[in-house]
Amino acid sequence: MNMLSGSEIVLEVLKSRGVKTVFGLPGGAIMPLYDELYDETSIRHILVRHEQGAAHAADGYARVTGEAGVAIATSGPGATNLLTGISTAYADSSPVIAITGQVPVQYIGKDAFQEADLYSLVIPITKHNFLVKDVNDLARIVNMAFDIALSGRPGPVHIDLPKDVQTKKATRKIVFKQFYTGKTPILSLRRIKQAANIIMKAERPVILAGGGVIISNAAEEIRLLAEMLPAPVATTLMGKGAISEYHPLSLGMIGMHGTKPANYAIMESDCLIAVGCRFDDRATGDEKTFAPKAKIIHIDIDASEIDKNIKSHLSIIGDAKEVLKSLIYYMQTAGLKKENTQWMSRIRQLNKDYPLPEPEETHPIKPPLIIKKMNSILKEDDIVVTEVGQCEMWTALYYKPRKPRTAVFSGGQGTMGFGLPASIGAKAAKPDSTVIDIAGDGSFLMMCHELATSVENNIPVIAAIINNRYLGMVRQWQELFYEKRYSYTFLGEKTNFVKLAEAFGAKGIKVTRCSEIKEAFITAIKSGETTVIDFEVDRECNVFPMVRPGGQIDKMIG
Amino acid sequence: MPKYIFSLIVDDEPGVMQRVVSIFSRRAVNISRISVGPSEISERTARIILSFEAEPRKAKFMRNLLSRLISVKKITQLKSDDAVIRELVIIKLKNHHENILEQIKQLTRDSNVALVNYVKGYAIEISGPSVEIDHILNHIDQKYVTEIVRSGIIALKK
Repeated sequence: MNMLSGSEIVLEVLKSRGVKTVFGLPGGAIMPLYDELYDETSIRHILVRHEQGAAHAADGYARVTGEAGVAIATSGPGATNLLTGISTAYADSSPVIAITGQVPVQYIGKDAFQEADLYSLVIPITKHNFLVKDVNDLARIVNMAFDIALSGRPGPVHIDLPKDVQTKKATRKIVFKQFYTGKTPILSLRRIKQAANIIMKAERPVILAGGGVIISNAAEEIRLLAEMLPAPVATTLMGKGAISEYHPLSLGMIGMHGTKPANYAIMESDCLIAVGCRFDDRATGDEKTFAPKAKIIHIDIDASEIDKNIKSHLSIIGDAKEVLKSLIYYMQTAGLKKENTQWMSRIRQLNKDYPLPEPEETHPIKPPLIIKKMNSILKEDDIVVTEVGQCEMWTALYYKPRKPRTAVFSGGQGTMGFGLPASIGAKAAKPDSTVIDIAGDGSFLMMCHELATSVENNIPVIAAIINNRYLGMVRQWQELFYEKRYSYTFLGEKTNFVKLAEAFGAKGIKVTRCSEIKEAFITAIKSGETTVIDFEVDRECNVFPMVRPGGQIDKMIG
Repeated sequence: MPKYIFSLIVDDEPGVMQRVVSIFSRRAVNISRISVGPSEISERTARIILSFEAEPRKAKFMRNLLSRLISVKKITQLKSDDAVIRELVIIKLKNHHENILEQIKQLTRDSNVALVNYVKGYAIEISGPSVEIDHILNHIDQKYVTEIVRSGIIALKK
């Protein structure tokens, strides 16, 4: 019988799992796998320029599809370059499969060339990880990696693959089956009923939708629940897209840079239905004063999130979609009849009294105006990815997604440099969608070399740089909390982003006037080319509203 | 702070201890005792018994975090009133001295004490509850002792 080599096994399993695209960069210890990839026609390999880019691209791919994203790197520095990306995926529960070469088994632990102890390094930042020592275990391990990454609360899985294991032939036939079914929680109907009874009695219910809603594809259930109660829906950063922000019940994001209606509604609520969120400190502000009047019902698939940050009155462990379905079904059969006119008129009042600050068409450009103008151009399947900092928060406040998986942020880790490679991953997965990376000039430079990946692989994304020549969010904090002592946040003025784009073979557009914003986006979209738009903006524009770190979320500045 | 004892069934593979321990170290919770041994369930699993002190909410958090680990198959919390909890201590003696053996026997209520004759001298093995072992070690005459080694605890639901 013709037995498969380790490399062939990896590719066979990837194909059997429906993987069409992988991101990576070869090196010594992963060469056998790359040799196999050379003839592989059904997997598209996208060559990045730095391994961190591969991890973020795989992450972006995973977030917009809900499927596993695959990143490949060599041993040692290639593998350690993935770590920031793996950590980013872990913090935001994204199913990334990272495969790295390792020195041959007999050299492990002997400080061989390009050897690093990846097994230990990734333990705290993966859902699980493997070191493959026997090629006969490989098929089981790669299959398990997919099952683990995608089941329950998703997360990254790392496979460390010694070079000799890649070349060795298996002596056993490979089996394709599911090896790991996840630790599926059993849904407590008693708790569903208890929750339903609390919700049905509530006079001021608010739904808080987190990233778990997106992951479990429960946006439709969120809308149903919101409309039947009726209850307004606030989201966390990761939950953006869980409800169309054009829906009348949408409040926008909560938290430090949340909208006023969202934060006020949470503070006034007598019943907070929190779905698939982990009550991050940036979302809750001071946890002692968070939602003081509300009975909090916390729905999450991960039991360790319950009472971790915010004590709930009732928790339901389970998949968001399943729990919401049961909840809705129970309330419908229990004959829920609610008008809730008082609360609804209060919500309408909040939305009317506290709209987002309207950016004026002044010179220099106010950054929120860029996002507002972008909204008017984008179609519902178009995707916005961001870098981290002010650019991210302006997007969180002003970008209005209509669908899940069209807003991609590095939430938990806040990884600068995430946006460009993640948008490449997103575009590779959804070539028919326009993908825009809303960047700051600081974040953008961290991964700007990935422009080459975008151009050379013909994955045209648009990088819209909100160029204020500062590490803007840090500068904003220095202005507000450090007496305007701008310690090392000014980046200088010489970097020419148009030339930078052109040097990589991308298109560069410079925008200085409000009247040019829309046209720049349209030109970039129409060109079908990788485009960098350099928006020269008001350098000291702050993101408002804002809650002081650790402050009460209804005490907002701006 | 209350004391907790967890009994875990885990995959017996390299790194599994690191996974378990890092759950605690990352949250600055000290594992006071830990022991590992093969489990009777299968050749590929091991049993880890560990104890730590924490506030109840934190202990529950630790348990939930451990249960997230793919390598952890089962977690049982053992309570001192409903479990047999044993620790083993071996006291190597300078020379065989009847006094210390008598001393120890008088201090002992629930432990098993055995005098063992090794090739190069004598030692006393005691297995019993940790509290009693603490008590014994605090009271014996150190001048007869060369070395003391204590295991972690093993525990079993009654």
